[in-house]
Amino acid sequence: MKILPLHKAIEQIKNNSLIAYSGMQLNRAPIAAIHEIIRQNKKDLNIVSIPNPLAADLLIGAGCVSSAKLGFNGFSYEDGFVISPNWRKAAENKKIELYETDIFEILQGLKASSLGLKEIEVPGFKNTDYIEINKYKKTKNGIITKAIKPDFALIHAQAADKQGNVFIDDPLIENLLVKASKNIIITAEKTTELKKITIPKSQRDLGMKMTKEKITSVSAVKKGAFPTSCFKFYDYHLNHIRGYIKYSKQDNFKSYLDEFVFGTKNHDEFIKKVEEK
Amino acid sequence: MNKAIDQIIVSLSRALKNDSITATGVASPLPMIAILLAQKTKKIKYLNCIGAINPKLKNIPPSSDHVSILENKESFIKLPELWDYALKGKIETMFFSATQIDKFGNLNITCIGDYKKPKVKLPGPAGSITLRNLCKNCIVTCLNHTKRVFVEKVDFITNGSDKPTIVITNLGILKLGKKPKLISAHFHSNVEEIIENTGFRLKIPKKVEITKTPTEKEMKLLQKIDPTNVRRSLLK
Repeated sequence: MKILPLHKAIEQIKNNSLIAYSGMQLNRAPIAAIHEIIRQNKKDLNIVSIPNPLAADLLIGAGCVSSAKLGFNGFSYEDGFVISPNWRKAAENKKIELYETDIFEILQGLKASSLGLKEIEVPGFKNTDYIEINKYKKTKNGIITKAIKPDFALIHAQAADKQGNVFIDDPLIENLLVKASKNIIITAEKTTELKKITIPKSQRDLGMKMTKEKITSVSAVKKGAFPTSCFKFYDYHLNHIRGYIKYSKQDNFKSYLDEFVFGTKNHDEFIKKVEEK
Repeated sequence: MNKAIDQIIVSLSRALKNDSITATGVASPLPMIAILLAQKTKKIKYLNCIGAINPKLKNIPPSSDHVSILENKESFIKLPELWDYALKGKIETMFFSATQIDKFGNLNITCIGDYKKPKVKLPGPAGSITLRNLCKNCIVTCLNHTKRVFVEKVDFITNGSDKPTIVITNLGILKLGKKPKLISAHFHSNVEEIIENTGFRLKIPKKVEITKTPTEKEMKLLQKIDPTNVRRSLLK
């Protein structure tokens, strides 16, 4: 386990890697890490995740991705529902290899890897054209899928300590990600002694603590999920999400990247720029 | 349209059984409001995909996957645990929607046109392929009952079911499957409007029922849950 500044942590990621990341819809996506991947111009990444529209759309729009195993791509927010603009363009123009599937297949693939299995059944996977498209082996109640073993999992946590213990207050899939992946890159709102983190008594059984054996590196990144939300810390930045969608829909994504990602040296600068607008 | 939205929410809420478990996935704000309404009069355990069991909501968030849902909840639920419930047959009802719906009740949220060369790429299945088969009762909602949505054959079967499927639309209630038929027309619509806006033949009963309109009590409760009418702002 290493304590690294974020850019050093992301330098560990090689082109062609399989990347998984945490976050669900507009909550706790590791956007600081995603931006740094784009700044470092990583190529031919393969991505897999549960619904997490901004992270996938950024990486795909920036041309970092060659294949995407995803279940759902859309922003559901104050303005209604919008299909992820860059993902949609890439899919329609065949710019990336799509492996579209049910989220449960992705969860089962991660589970197989976490248990050291090569493949696993996905019960309930039937009555769908995806069986033909993705060429599955069928079972009585579903299909067989292969283990998913990410080279890197990117996780933004509420807190971590110098020993590599990590605290996540809403660990939706992190247990699986950590067990399934080869390397874990953590960004955290707070790096402190976990003992000092005060969690209301009524909620103490809800969070998840991970131990250092599994963690590759920890980076302190304040507001590391911004402009998505981070439970207990901040809400998503509605105006910026709106702006992102507007830029992307108008075929203006390059200027978005130039201004907000390449035009900022690090996440602090990005936040400052967004908040100045 | 406001009347239609309230009618849809109330109809969804009535479809939830007492003493049962229900769940919502991503981007499902209307079913979420319907569940909160049903919880006012029935014992219903609600699993929300952002990680909350029985969330208590002060305000209706703009989506069913908003971070504020985590703030005040009975307990936390990890995403794979939602499927644990489903695999054990414990989820009684779940709600789905789609860009295209065919007479068999197949839903398409994958693409318009050919999958390999889509004219429009749609968001994808989320968890609907498996959950549609694992939950006992699946209800489809549709806010724009038109021939573009209700088609003879969907361009891509994202999810389907072995069982007949109830669809609650802005115009009425349909039962799709081997024998697609009209169950009822909403008070603000009529049989002709439904036939005209459905791209396949529906069996029409001799005497078509009118969907029971929202009662005063239901409207009062709904207004209490959503006093600022978020449900209406979601339809831009």
